[in-house]
Amino acid sequence: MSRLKRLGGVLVALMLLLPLTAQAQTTLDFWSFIDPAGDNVRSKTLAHIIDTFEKANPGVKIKTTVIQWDQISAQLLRADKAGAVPDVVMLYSPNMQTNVQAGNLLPLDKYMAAWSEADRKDIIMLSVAKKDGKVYGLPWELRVLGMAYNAKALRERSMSVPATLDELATQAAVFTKEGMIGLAFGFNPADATGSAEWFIPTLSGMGAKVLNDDGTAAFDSPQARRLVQYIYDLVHKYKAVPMDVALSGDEAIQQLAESGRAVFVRTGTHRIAAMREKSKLGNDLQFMPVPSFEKGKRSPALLQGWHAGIPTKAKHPDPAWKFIEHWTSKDIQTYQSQSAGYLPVRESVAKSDAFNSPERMYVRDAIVWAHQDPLNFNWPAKSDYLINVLARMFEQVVTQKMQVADALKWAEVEYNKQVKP
Amino acid sequence: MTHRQRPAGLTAWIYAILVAACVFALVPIVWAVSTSLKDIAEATAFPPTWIPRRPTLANYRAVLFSHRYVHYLVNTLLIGAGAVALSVAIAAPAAYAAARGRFAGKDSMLFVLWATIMMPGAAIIVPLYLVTVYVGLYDTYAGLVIVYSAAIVPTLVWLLRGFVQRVSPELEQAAMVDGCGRWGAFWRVTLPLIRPGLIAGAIFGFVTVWNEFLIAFSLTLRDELRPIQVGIYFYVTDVGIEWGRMMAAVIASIVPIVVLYGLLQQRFMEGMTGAIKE
Repeated sequence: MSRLKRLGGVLVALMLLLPLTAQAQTTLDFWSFIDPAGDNVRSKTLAHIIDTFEKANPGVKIKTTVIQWDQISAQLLRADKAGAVPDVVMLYSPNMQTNVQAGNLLPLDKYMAAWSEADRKDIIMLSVAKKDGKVYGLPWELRVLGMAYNAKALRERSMSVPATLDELATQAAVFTKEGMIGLAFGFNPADATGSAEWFIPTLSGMGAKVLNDDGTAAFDSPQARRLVQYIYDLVHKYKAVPMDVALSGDEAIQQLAESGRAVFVRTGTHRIAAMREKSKLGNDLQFMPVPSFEKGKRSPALLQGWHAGIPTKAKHPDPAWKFIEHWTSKDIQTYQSQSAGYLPVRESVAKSDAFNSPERMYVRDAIVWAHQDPLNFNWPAKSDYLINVLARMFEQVVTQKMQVADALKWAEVEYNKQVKP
Repeated sequence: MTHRQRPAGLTAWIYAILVAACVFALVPIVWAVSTSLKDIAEATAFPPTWIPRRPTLANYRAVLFSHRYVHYLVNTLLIGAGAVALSVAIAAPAAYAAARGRFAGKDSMLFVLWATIMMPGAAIIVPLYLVTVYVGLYDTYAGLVIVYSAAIVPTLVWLLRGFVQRVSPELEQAAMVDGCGRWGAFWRVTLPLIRPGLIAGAIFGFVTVWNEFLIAFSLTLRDELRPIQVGIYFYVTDVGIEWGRMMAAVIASIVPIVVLYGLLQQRFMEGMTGAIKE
């Protein structure tokens, strides 16, 4: 046999053998709204998390598909029908039940059974990720919804942080009279998540329900009438909130704070870092719990969070779980909190010294608030509709198209049409 | 009333309205350019500034050197070119048949074809999604090209029909006398003569695809397939809108279309005025 033929035979043999020696590669399809290739701090944090996972699991590669944050849930619902689901998906807490009840997510209990009791208790679970005692997703970050305020503006007028909703209204009115926007509260139905995230815990703190046990609306209560009347008074009596602001959406509200125009604004801990950077207020932009009508009592802290779940039709559920386990581990949660400012999902990490710096103190305060006065709200499957109906109800009241009691009754009927057609 | 007979006051009013219309159209673009040159704090500062206090090209650097942006641009070029090629290939013979053909149901078919122009995209997006999933074209280049072609063809047929009607049938008959069949006459005689219409239709189709968002957003999943308008949407994040970068992406996405129009403006105007005369 000629030398050339022998060489060709060796090459062919190598080509046939080489795949056998190479480690079988699994590619996990991961849906994320954060682009790990981006240049911002959250992107770099996620890139590190993926990188460390891949190094610890040499046979597994993660392929990230970036999807708009407010479209992930809808995309998952569509993809389930099309049979094109990922292995790991990020879902926001109000959207968890929609997917749980649609049967889109795998229960994680069989995987969590391998954890110790201490480990299982260390994770701060939100009830939205559960159904019939089973867990369908683990949070990889948490945020507390409250308010941000311009501490410098308060200092210049020798004002202290308002202790009640009425104090908030009168202080805000002072600023609005001076040409600023004392209180940035918006109720535009097109962009209304923030208004519901303020209304629901404040109302719950007053001892009222939002939904009955059967899922129907319980909007029309004496407490709800008082709170909605308060919103009306903010605009028309105190004049703390200009009408155009009251009819704005969440994005416009945030920009008012970023431009330094608004003194008090409702927001979440996840936005504080970005708002500080854009407003140039730095540590003078502070986070505060939402006050209640009673002095010395705060409204409960609404805890929300992005979850990591495994779709039911995922091709690689076992390595997908390993990724989620890695992401929620103590080391990664500590790293993530320090680098990107996320609230950690482990109690043990939340108690660490990472949040003692002036820049991070608001995170510690928010965690303390969430521990002392938590509201673990059970977002219904039709959470988008709930948010929309509440916002439309506020719009009717603020624009004086309906009286408070009529608006609440209307909202109940409107919401119940979808829940009990 | 001719231009010379028009009173001076009326001319002034006409110019005033035209200037106002231009200002109305240009102000958002000027504001977008201004915002694209602002840093993160100035983009949302109050009072707003028309001329950036600290102009920066950082937004353009971040956008143009982003691998995703270049990818989105290439996707849009591919999808646009594919849709235009397919649309013209279908619409040209269809327009010829509409102009020259005499067959039962021709007017009804044309009416139905043109009625689809009035159908809003949002009304058919759900069935479109279901169909593309069912036939396996969801989240594919081919799916987007076919859907866009279906949207562009009716308008192209209307446009090209006028051009075909302007071509003298005697020319085609002369070609057929010389040995060409019907198809040969169309290909060798009619098609070259309706070139301005083809160019105008191609530009129209390409710009339609370039600007379109809803279909691209609904029928794509993977980042690898996204066209530019969907890509720009990703500057709306969960912690706020990155206004500076978004405006830089918007301005950068306008440039190719402006260049294309600049190069083919004369042909486009010839094509559109030719259609209107019919």
